[in-house]
Amino acid sequence: MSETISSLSGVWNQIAPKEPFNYSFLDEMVALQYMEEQRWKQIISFSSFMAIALACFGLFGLAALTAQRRTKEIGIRKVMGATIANIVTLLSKDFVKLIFIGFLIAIPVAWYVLNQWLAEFAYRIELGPGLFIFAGLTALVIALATISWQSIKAAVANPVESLRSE
Amino acid sequence: MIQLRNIDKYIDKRFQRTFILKGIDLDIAEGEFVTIMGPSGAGKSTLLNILGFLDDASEGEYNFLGDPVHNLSERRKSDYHKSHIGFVFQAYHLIDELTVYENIEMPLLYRKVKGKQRKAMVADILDRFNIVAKKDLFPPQLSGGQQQVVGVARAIIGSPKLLLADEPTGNLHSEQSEQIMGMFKKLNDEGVTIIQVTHSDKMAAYGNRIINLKDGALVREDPYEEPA
Repeated sequence: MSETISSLSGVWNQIAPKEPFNYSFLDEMVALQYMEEQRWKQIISFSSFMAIALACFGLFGLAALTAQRRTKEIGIRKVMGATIANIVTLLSKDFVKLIFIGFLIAIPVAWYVLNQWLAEFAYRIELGPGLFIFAGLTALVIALATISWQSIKAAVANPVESLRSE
Repeated sequence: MIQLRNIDKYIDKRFQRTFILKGIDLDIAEGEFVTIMGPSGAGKSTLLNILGFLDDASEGEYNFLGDPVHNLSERRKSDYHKSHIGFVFQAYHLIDELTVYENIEMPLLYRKVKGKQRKAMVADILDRFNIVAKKDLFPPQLSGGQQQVVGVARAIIGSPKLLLADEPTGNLHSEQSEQIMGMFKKLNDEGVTIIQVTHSDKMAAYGNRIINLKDGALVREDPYEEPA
């Protein structure tokens, strides 16, 4: 490598001895072009992580509140023969609905913005439905994991305790 | 139908063991209408909860229809619970967010009864208890007595063999109480075994046997059979 460069520099000095020998590599030039994208990627990753974490805190609180508010109902349902799975489904159903609505709102926005951004590149990936489905499923899994602790806790509680009215 | 042998229920708190029930022996035959009486804190509700599989005895044997409940798996217990036992509570325990119809329908959902049959069963019960006109109302819109009628309807829709009632008339005035007890009596005549907890002698008189509990132990089985 350095040999090639020094021989190139020798040839350059023969042809144009008054001009300094400046050189750069193509891959470095290309990398330089994408440096801004790299930085954006970091910023967006970090803020997405923060947004998801904050949303999870909220969701966790909401799930706790729901479970607490419905303690009596859960107790009654258990006495009437509901299984733990029934109760967890009951508590998660509303949240799944919300996630689905959120998903429907997010898709067109994400699709539009991503397309605008991708249009800046000469060579680009196609935005397939797989990408959105993957994102939606990830959101669903994260949300269910967040609320599962509260729901399961509420579901396994002894109904005798929650129905004690005296 | 029910055999309790030396049932204990206690709570261990640090170094102290507090007994709620101690050495309960009890036999209840199919078709009986049993009343459990006793002062507050005597363990009546706990006994009822154990009978209804809602709570486990700490020690002792419980045979239900010949099956040892103390050895049953959770799943089997839950199946039994769903298919054989109905509950009526003092505080009704209806779900306020659901209509009368939905409240009555609920046990059937958990027993996976098919839609059409479910509709027929609920309609049948509504008709039988004369609450067809109330089916789309919510529990808070009903009087206490009517709520308890719904509670009874919900308890028996799955045609249980055993009906457990924890002070079913505790929150009702006498006329409503009589209505509820009349319904119990009728169910008992149809062959449902009923065990109720009550404080009222008048309500106890509807049954054919009285069990007295005091401080977690049976006092004597039937004061009426005492030699005068």
